[in-house]
Amino acid sequence: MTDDKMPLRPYHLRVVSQSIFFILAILGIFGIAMTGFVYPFFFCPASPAACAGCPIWVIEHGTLEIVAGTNSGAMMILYMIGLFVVIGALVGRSFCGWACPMGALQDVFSFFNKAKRRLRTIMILGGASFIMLMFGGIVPYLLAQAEFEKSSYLWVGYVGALGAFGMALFGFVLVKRFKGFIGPIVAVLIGAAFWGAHYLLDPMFDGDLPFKSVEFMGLLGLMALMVGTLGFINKFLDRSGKKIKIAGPVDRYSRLIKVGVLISVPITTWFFDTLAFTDIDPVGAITATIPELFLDPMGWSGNQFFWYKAVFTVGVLALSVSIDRGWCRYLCPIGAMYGPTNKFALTDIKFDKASCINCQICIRECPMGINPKENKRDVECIRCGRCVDVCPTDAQKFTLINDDIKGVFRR
Amino acid sequence: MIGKKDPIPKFGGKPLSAIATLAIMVIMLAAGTGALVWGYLDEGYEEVEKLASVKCLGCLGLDPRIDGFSEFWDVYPEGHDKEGQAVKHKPTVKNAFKEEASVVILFFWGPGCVPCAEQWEEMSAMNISSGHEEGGREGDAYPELGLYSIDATNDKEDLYWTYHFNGKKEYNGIPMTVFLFQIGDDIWWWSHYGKMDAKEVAEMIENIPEIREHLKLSSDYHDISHA
Repeated sequence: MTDDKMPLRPYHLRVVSQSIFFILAILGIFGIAMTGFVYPFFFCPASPAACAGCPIWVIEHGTLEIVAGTNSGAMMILYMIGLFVVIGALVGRSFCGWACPMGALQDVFSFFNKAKRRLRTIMILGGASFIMLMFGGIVPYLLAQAEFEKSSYLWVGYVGALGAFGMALFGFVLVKRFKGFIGPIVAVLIGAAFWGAHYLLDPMFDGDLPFKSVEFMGLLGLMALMVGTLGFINKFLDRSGKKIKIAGPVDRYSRLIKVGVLISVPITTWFFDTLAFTDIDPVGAITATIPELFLDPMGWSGNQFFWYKAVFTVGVLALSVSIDRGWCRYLCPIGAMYGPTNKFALTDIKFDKASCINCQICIRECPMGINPKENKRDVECIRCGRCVDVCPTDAQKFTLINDDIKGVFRR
Repeated sequence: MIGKKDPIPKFGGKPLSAIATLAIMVIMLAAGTGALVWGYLDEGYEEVEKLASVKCLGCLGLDPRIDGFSEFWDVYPEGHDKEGQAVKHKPTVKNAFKEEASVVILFFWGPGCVPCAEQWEEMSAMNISSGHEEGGREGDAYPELGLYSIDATNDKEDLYWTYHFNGKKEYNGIPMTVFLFQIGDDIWWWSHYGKMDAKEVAEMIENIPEIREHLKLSSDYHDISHA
């Protein structure tokens, strides 16, 4: 396989495709009003940049309307499922690999996953600190202090921010300094103590203090908790020194979780009579909550779902940094919707056994952790073309019409 | 010899599994297109557009940090896109005052909005409101009150944007609570964005007579009304 044979690698095409779909997804920031289209991937309609509805959000609203007894809910779900079935029949689960912004984000994360251990540690801890700061509202708080309250209290925000960073650093040193799991355990205990104290102290100072120092205490606790938890993951990673490989039945059955998530969406919506999944949805946090906080930090404060959302988001990000496409593999309900369509999709990745030299590179490189040689049209294949990209003998190839269908028409 | 049979089941000389794959693919394409077009034509598109037009604050995990009450407005307030312009009041509001309500509340909610449902429940517990959010009305606690519960995703009169606090698209969230009262022919209003405590709502209703008297007596008002 030489480059002149195929100058544009699937990898390049895919980045172009992901960029185009990302720009289409965020047309809202260019002043395009909200349309009635549905994203064929995961993107939150509450995002400041959104211009269409999210399929999961459609299922939830549709369920609510069906329960309420109106016709439009069923029509909305029918419309969305129609879109997914058409896309599925044509290209299978390709949109996960070629269009979804969440997928693109995870491709970026997989870069850190492959990076050296030290860099990975810094990425995980730094990223978590940043997200916690963003979520913990230090930046919003600083600005809000100056805007709404007396600006003389501004220093409180700075001290809080410094304290949170200090706590993250302290936890980091704890994790690094001690052998085994002592460091993370101490960090988690300190975090739990701070968080618990914040809960106990909060009612006592209800509204009496000019600033919310008790909330900062909780934030410090969360920082330590987070660093401690990530320390566990990090120690686990350090032992092998390689990226986490989950294989065998654990991997196989864990992949079913996303089907469970998909099924739970209408059930929880019906049971709680609200958009239960959306309330804690990490994709919503990444595509809507964080951008909102960036655009207008002093305009917002957390509501009752805020911390659940924050914990799930950091969890999903940590999963994605530890395992290639962790979210797509185990949790994404939209991936679960697309999955079965792979079996019957028109386009395919063709494997030519005769030219295979059994080098195993495609198995090693597959971001979804499947065996591209064995699993013909696997439900987990996102058609990203990584195997096509790396195959030294071009044994893996994209085909426009899959071999089964070609065979039917062949004389 | 046993097992001379062809191991792959065939139909017309072609493998059955291949034919099944083709058939299912074609059925998926046809049924999917059908569902897509049917759903699109029959309310699907409009419904998504309608629901997405109002941002669910509960879904963001965020509440807006908005200033509390400072004053009532008779024109669009400072910072509004139509600052200083007169408000074109809608029939729902005008009729409410004709029905001898002296204080009118417009409560904007949306399907699946948790903070809206919570505020509604709290208000209902205090008898400020009664009935279901959808088509809900005032409760027994305040006889002079007229309360209208409006689904912001199905707001045919455009009440939401008429009484929005700053008219800016990025603040298209619910719940929103609007308080209105009348002096002569002038309608004064104030709108709260985000979830509001039922206690605050009650306080506001109780304070409005005083605010109205204050406004009536103030020289500003006489200057405007007799100009």
